Amino acid sequence: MEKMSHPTPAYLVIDENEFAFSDKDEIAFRVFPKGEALTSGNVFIVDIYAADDHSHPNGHAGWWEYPLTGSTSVDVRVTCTEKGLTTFFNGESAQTFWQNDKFHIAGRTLIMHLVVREWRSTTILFNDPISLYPDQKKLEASKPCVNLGDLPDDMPLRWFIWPAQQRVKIVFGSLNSKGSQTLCRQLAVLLSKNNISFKIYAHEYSNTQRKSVQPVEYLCHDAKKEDLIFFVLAEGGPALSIVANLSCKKILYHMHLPDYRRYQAFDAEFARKLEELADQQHLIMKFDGICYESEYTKKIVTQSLYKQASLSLLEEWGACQTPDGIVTISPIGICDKNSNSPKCSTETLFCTLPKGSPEFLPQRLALTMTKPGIPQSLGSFPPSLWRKNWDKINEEECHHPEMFILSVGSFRPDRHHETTLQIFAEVAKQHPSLGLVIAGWPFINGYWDYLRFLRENIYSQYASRIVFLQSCNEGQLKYLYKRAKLFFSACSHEGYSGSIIDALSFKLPIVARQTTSTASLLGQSGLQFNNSIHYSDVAHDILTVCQNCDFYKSIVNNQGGNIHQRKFLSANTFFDSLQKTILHKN
Amino acid sequence: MLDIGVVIPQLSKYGGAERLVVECITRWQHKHKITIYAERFNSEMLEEHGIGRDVALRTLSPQIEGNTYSFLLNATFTPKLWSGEIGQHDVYNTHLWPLHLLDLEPAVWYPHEPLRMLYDLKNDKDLISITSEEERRVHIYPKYNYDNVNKSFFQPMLRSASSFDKTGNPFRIVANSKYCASYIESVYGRQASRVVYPGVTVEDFLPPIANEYILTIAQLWPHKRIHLILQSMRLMDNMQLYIVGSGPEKQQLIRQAKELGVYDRTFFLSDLTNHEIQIVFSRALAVVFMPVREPFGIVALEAMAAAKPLVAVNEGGYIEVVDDRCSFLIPPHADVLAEKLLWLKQHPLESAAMGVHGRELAQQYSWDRTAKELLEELEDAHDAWKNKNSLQLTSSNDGPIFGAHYYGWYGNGLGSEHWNDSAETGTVTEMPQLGYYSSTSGDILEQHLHMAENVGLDFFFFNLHINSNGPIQREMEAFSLMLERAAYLKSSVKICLQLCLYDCTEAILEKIWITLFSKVFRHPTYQQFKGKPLLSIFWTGQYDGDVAFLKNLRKHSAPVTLLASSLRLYPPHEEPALTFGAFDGWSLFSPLELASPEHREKLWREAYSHASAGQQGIRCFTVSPGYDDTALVASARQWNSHRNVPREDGKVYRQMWDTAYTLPQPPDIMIISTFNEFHENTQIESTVSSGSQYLELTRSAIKRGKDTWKK
Repeated sequence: MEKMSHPTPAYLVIDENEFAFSDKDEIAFRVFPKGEALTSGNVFIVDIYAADDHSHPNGHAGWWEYPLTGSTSVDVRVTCTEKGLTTFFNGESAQTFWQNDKFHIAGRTLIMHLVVREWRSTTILFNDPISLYPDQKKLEASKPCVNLGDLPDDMPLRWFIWPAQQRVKIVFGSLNSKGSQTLCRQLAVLLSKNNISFKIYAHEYSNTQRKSVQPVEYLCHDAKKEDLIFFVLAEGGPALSIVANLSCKKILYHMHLPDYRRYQAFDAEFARKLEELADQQHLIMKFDGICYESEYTKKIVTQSLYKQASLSLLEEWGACQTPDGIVTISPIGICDKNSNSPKCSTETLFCTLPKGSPEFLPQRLALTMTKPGIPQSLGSFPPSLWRKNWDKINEEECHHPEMFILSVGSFRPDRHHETTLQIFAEVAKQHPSLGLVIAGWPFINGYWDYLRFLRENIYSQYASRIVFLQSCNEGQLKYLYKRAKLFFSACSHEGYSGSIIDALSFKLPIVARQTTSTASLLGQSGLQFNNSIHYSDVAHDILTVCQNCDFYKSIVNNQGGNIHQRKFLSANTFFDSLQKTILHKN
Repeated sequence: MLDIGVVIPQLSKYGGAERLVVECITRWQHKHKITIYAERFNSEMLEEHGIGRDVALRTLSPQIEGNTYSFLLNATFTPKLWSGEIGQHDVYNTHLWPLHLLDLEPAVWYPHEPLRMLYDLKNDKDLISITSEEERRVHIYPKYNYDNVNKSFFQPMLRSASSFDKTGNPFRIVANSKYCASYIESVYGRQASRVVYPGVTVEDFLPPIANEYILTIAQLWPHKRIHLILQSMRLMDNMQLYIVGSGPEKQQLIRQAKELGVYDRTFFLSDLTNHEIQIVFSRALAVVFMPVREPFGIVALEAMAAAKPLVAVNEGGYIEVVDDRCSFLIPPHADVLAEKLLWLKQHPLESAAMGVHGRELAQQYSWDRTAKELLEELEDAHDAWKNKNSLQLTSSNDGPIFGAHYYGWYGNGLGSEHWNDSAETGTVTEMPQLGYYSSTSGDILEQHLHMAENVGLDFFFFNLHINSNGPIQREMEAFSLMLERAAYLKSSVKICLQLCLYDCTEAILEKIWITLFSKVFRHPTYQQFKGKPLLSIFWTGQYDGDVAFLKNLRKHSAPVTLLASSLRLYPPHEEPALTFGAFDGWSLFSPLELASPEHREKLWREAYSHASAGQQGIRCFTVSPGYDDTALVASARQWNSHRNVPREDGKVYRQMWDTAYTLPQPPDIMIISTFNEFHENTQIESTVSSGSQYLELTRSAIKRGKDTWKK
């Protein structure tokens, strides 16, 4: 087991990932408090909700609290009686608890949150949601039936020998988003098919994911020196800090991070996590290499890392900055410091002075150039290892207007669905039946509420023509792509846009906000608009596409050249990154 | 249309004061000419609010930063510095402290609040000066940071600032609440002329979307009592707090939130767009506002507009615009605050009803109303100030006005500029009683003003010479100083300019016009004639027939009364071809040079009869005590056959005045050429050789003239 040189967070270890109530209507398990959970006098709480209703008080069965004062293990027993649920700690009733007498438990699957909380506040330090099934049968029935429908026929294979003892730890900050779930599943399938041993960890996950995912805090005792971490950085949170401080080899997969300020109004908690990342940049320096979501992301992040590294280096050298911004460095001893500093790389050039140079100068001069050191780049690839194989996905019917514009994307502010609605309203003024379907996945609840508000209040006269589909599955997506008149995206996110690739596959004309990302996928094709274009002009273009067959065909034909066949590029780059980090550096 | 100068320290962030300015200007810009002065602008913010390009933005010098005396300097020196940087306008609307110290007239000061650390907050050290061992911290809005002040300097600085604070004397003060009006009266001993409440645009706010969290909006300073809200959070489980705002207390508040164990439920939001702020409002359960005696507190109105219940401390200005059907006004107690918020959470229907009532009530306090009321005050202030000043003009304008040509070109002492510095142009043969004085001496200028006032002169034609390098610097300084001293002395003698153009380029003239219109013509001591600034051009005939020059001159001088002070005669039938109707009136500059003694009077009368050469037919008559430039050796003067017209002990001067008294129609302007031109010996100023003889003659002549021509 690895010795941690940094303080370990408070967490609980439990060996089971799911439970079913026994014939005696009880479950029993043991938890092991770890890290700061042991020392700081925190409390351990068993907090139970219904899986189908996570609201308080209706779906809340109750909570039971146990003070963690130096306990290295706690026996927990949850019993179900006619009066409801009760939890016992080390055989004794909880002293502090709240129990919902009106909670109906019969036959319901529950979520048991194992929580560590600061004793004096509501700050949650650790939360592990685990499913509790009413009986063994329900548990068995819940075993995941992995849908490998979109797997490519010819799975990419590694071309190098993988050391048998080497395990990969795939780590996510959060597995809440559709994108992270897809990437996680693809990574798992790819590694599994290539006989590479792996485990998945995350800080935020659901009770259903808990079957295959472990809390990221487990890495504190689980990570071995010979392991390789592949950490997906998509937002803030404690995962980066935990992973960065592990001494095994580490690869960071840097997603494009949105501007936290644009999330504040909708989800201040999420925005805070993004904002806090700015203060955690020094942790990125601890990784052995970085993969980036796109070349644009690489450019932005690299610039920022160089700045951070330069400032750190200057601080180490005791550099002073004058009020007018000039940095002065005392040259004494810099070369000595450079020679061993991991923060920089140096290159020395020699030159011979021409004849006639002043005598007090030496004949040969050495010029040492120093460049701040940042983790090596291991390439760029989108967070989707291969394109969907739509042929293998069965269509699934869903509600839509007869003729409609389709927009696909998570419900988050940088998708700018409000702009989509605004432009659609312009279109709808001039077209009596054209509808809009926005198919997405829940991400920021406040933003979802806002969009529904806009539809029902601001654009109420067109509300019947606007369909929001939350948590759309791939069968439904296929159904929609095949029937849509046009694909629209107002997204300003500079990361990879899988939905544009999908729209290209279905030969839909595309109207999209111009970003580095869309430009890289569409080139000059499609209809791309920027911020200086008036929305009524965009609406006019949409109407023209919908009403003019020739125009429609010319747009689609122009787009045709952009459906690249590089379907395994991401997987191969991923393998590259593993090989470079493990094999070459070993 | 009024020319309004709006002055505010900064217009870069979107605080309450800045919002009021932006909202008002948005509404005034189409009716009046607006110029905004600030040390910093956020052009995106102005654009977002539809402030157009017709609104001029002028940048002021930055406030002093980074030294021990920053606070004191910004409380005293900076407004005086800015006074000199701000152009002339019909009326000024100044915002925030300490812009009542600007020397602008007439100014309507909207203080928003006095500097509270000097008054109502001065005894609360926790609120205004969080102490360290050696330093105290002070703050002047709208800065985001504190100025650090040495501990031993702190109280003396506050006392100095307080003393200086009382010297401000804006024409009017407008308060943002009755509470603030009484506060202002207690501090400055002056009543606010009006209360104009800030406003809100209800239609801009989204209807409620959710009831998720507690919202407070404030800059993060101690007296906003955010710490109290944090403490109340500890008494409420499962409630989130959104704090929108920035400020130097942020880290301290984060630390407190962590100590209280509520940091995971407390979020600090900043850099939101306007629309995002409206979304934040629409998702809130309630709005909390707990500042110490806020002079107004626009957040209260915004909460009402957003249809959210307000829980606020029962003090300050906003309590005048809320009622108990839309708000809970409470003492500043954390437990009471928590109790009210929990009640709102548990009573969503009642909470919604409070919001609905608040929104209805907020309709009364629109920005339209604020802009209208403040503009009414500006217009009224302008009219009142104009009336006050025009009364003075009317009294002195009862009959002709009497002026004298004045020269401000003299250096300090014999041998310096214009005191025998050049045989060609600088020779003097008389010595003034005041000695060979400097024209840039305030004392000398004051004495000249006194002399002029004593003899009954209404104004000086200040001769400003302009060559290819621009105005002569010394003359420009002397002119500015004379305006200032005349204002300081409250002298009845006004000043106006006579431009003497020599090789003056078009570009220089453009600059001069800008300066004249922005800084000179509206100066309270500048001479007006028929409701317009009076301006004279020394007309040698050099530009006769120059169509481009004269049309340009006419174009620029449209808002002024333009006289030609001519070296030649101006028969009306010839002028259209020579000067194209550029001038409103004509006068002779040096009538004694034009003819031999036996023909002089006839010629003066003829010139006088040619008043119709000017567009307005202004009748001017010029008198001189004598003329003698024979000491000057410049070759250009040699051709003049009348270069020595002896004074004959005042006889010539009296003869000229007598001619004036018998003119067929009374003059509009009587001009004495000159007050102090010593090279040509036309001066009436007291000299060593003749004493005050010519001043005395002038005094009696003007008195007689006023009696003769009294309307």
